[in-house]
Amino acid sequence: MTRLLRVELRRLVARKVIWLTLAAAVLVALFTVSTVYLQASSIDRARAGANQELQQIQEQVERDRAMCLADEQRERARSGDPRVDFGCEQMQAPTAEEMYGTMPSLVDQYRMLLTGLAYPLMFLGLAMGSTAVAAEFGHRTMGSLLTFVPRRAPVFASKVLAPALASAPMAVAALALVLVGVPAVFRWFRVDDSVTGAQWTSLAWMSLRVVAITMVAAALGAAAAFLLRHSGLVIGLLVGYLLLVETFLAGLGGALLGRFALTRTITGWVQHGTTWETWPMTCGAFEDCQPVRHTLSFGAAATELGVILLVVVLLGWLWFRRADLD
Amino acid sequence: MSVAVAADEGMAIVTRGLRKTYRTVRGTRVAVQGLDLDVPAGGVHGFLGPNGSGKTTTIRMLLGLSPADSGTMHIFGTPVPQHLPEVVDRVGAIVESPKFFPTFSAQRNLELLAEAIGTPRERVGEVLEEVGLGARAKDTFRSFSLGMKQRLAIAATLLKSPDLLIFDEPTNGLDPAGISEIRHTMRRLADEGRTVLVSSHILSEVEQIADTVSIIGRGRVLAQGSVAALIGAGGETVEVGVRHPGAAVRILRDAGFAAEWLARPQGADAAAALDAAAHHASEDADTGLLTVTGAQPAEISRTLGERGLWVERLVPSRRGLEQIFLELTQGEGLPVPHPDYPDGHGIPPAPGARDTTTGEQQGGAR
Ligand SMILES: Nc1ncnc2c1ncn2[C@@H]1O[C@H](COP(=O)(O)OP(=O)(O)OP(=O)(O)O)[C@@H](O)[C@H]1O
Ligand SMILES: [Mg+2]
Repeated sequence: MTRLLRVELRRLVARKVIWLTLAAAVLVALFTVSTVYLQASSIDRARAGANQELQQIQEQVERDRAMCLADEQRERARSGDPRVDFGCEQMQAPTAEEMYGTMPSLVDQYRMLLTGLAYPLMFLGLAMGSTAVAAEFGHRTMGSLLTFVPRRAPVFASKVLAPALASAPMAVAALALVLVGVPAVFRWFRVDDSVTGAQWTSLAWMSLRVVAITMVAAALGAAAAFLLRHSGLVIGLLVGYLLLVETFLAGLGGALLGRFALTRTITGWVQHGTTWETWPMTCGAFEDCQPVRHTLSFGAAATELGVILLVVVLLGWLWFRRADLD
Repeated sequence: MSVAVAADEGMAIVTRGLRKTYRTVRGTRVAVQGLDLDVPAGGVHGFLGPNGSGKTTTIRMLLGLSPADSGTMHIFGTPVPQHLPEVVDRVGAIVESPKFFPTFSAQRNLELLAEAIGTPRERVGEVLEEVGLGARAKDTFRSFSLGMKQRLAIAATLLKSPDLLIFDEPTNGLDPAGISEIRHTMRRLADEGRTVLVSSHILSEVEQIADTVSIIGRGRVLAQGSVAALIGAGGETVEVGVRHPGAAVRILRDAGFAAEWLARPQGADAAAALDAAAHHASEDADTGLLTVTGAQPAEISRTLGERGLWVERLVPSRRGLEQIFLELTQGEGLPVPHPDYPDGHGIPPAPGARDTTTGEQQGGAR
C-alpha cells in the first residue's frame, strides 16, 4: 500500500497539472495579499493627502463651536436662565480614523482572508484529484496497472489518498504567503500588527483546518472521478450546485438550505463554528423585527464534511470494485 | 461458480462454463456463454474467433479486469480472480492496445509500473533494450509510432519475466516487418519455455507460430487442439484431374473415398446428374476436376488406373487454418454486409445461428 502510494505520488508529481494547480494557488495567495495592500494603501493615501482638508474641517468646527458658545452665552444673558444649553460640546471635529476608516485588526483580517482562501484552494484540490483519476480512465491506464497490481482496494485507496497528500503542500504554500505577506503590508503602512500568542495559536489551527479541507476536496475529487470518469463533470457538478442551489435558490428562498448549505459547512469548519442571522419571514415592514441568530457548531460542520467524504468515497469504491475496465 | 476443475499445473489456462453478459442502457449482451478453454503450458496458443466473439472479454476476465457472471478460471492451477494476486507475477498481458500515459516518457511509464510491483529500476533499461527501444527511452509515449508502442507494451510485460504472456491482437496496425518481428518475439518467448496466448485475425501468422489453437464463436469454443490435429482433422485433400470425372467419382466413392466433382450442381439433383453423366460416356468425355479427401495420392491413381481411367493431374492440397476457421465460424461472426444493399444491411443470420443480443437476462444459475 505504501509502495502504491509512493508510485501514485510520483505519477502526480510527473504530471503538469499538479504544477499548474500549485502556480494557481500561489497566484490566488498573491492576489489575496495584493487586495490587503490596495486597501491599506488607499487608506494611507487618503489620509496623507487629506491632512489639510482635515485641518480645515477642524478649524471650521472650532469656529462653529465658538459661535455656538457665544450664542449660548447671549441667550443665557437675555433669558437670565443659566440652564440654557445649545449642546455646543457635541460639536467635535472628526479624527483621521473616523474620516478615512481604519484597517481591520490583523487577526480579523486573517480570519476573513483564510476563510476566503479555503474556497479557491478546495477548488484546486478538487481539480487536482479529479483530473488525476479521470486521466487514468481517459488513457485507459487503470486496467494496465491492474494487470500488474490486481488488488483493487489498495489501488483505489492510493489513488484517492495521493491527490489528498499532494494538495497539502499547495495549501501550505498559499497559506504561508498570506500569513507572511499580510503582516508585511501592515508594517509597511505602519498599521498596528500586534497579535497575541493565543491568537497565533488559534490562527495556526485555522490554517491547519484550511489545509485539511483542501485535502478533503482533493480526495473527494478523486473518488468522484471514479464514479463520473471526467474531471469536467466533477467540477461542473460542484460549481453548478454551488451556483444554482446555494447562490440562486438560497437567494430566492432565503434560509432554504439553512445550516445544510455547503458554504455554511465550510465556513463552520474553517472558523471553528459559525453564527449568522436571518430575518423572520413574518416580519412586516413597520414592525420592530428582531433577527434570528443561528449557530453551526464546529462538531456539526466536521460531521457533515465527514459524511460527504464518506459517502462519495464509498460510492466510488462500490462502483470501482466490480467495474469492467479496459 | 459451481463447475469444479482439478488444479492442473500442466495447463496454463483452464476455463469452465465461463459466462459474461454486458449490461448496457440498450439491454444486455451475452459476450461469453459457457466457454471451456484449455491452454496447455508452454508454446504459442492461437486464440481465434471472428469480431465480437468474446476473445477480449475472455482475456479481461482472466486478468480480473472484468468480473465473470459465472464459471471458473484457473491460471497455472490457481483459481482466478479469487487468487489472482498470487499468480499475477507470472502473467504479462497486453489487452487490445498499448495503454500508457502519453506525456510520460517510455522510461517513466515503465518505471512507475516497475515500482508498483517492486521490480528494481535497472530492469526498465534492460527490457527497453530487449525490445529495441533503448535509444528512444526518454521520448514521450505520444511521440511513438504504433509499432514502437506495441514494443513498449511488450517491454512492460517483460518487467515481470512472466511464464504466461497474453497478447490481444499484438500486430494490429503494424507493417509487415513489424508483424514479422512480433511473430519472432512471440516464438522466442515460447522457445524460452513460456506460454504465449495470442489473439489474432492474421491466421497465416498464427498458423506459422502456434502450437495449439482454439477457435471460438459467439462466446463458445468451436474447436481446440494442436494446429496439426486441427488441420489434419478433415484429412488430406487431393485435387484430381481426370477424363470422365462423373465415372471417376462413382469409382472412388465405391472404393470408400470421399470424392467430389468440382463445378457440378450440388444437392438433390447432384446424384442424378452424376448418374446421367456416368452412363452417357460421351457427355463425360472432357477432363474434369475432383477433390478427394481421406486418401493418399497413390491409392487414388491405382484405384482409377485399375478401371482404365488415367489421372492427368494430382495435387495434394492441405486445408489451411484459414479455411478451417472460415468453415467453423460461418454464421458465428457479425453479419456480412449484403452487396445488393449499399447502405450495409446485413443478410439474415444463417439458420441455426443463435442471436446473442436477445435482450433477456441470461446470466445466473448454472
Ligand atoms: N464494455 C462493453 N459493453 C458492452 N458490450 C461489450 C463491451 N465490451 C464488449 N462488448 C460486447 O461483447 C461482445 C464480445 O466482445 P469482445 O471485445 O470480447 O470481442 P472480440 O472477440 O475481442 O472481438 P474483436 O476480434 O473484434 O476484438 C461483443 O458483442 C461486444 O459488442
Ligand atoms: Mg478484441
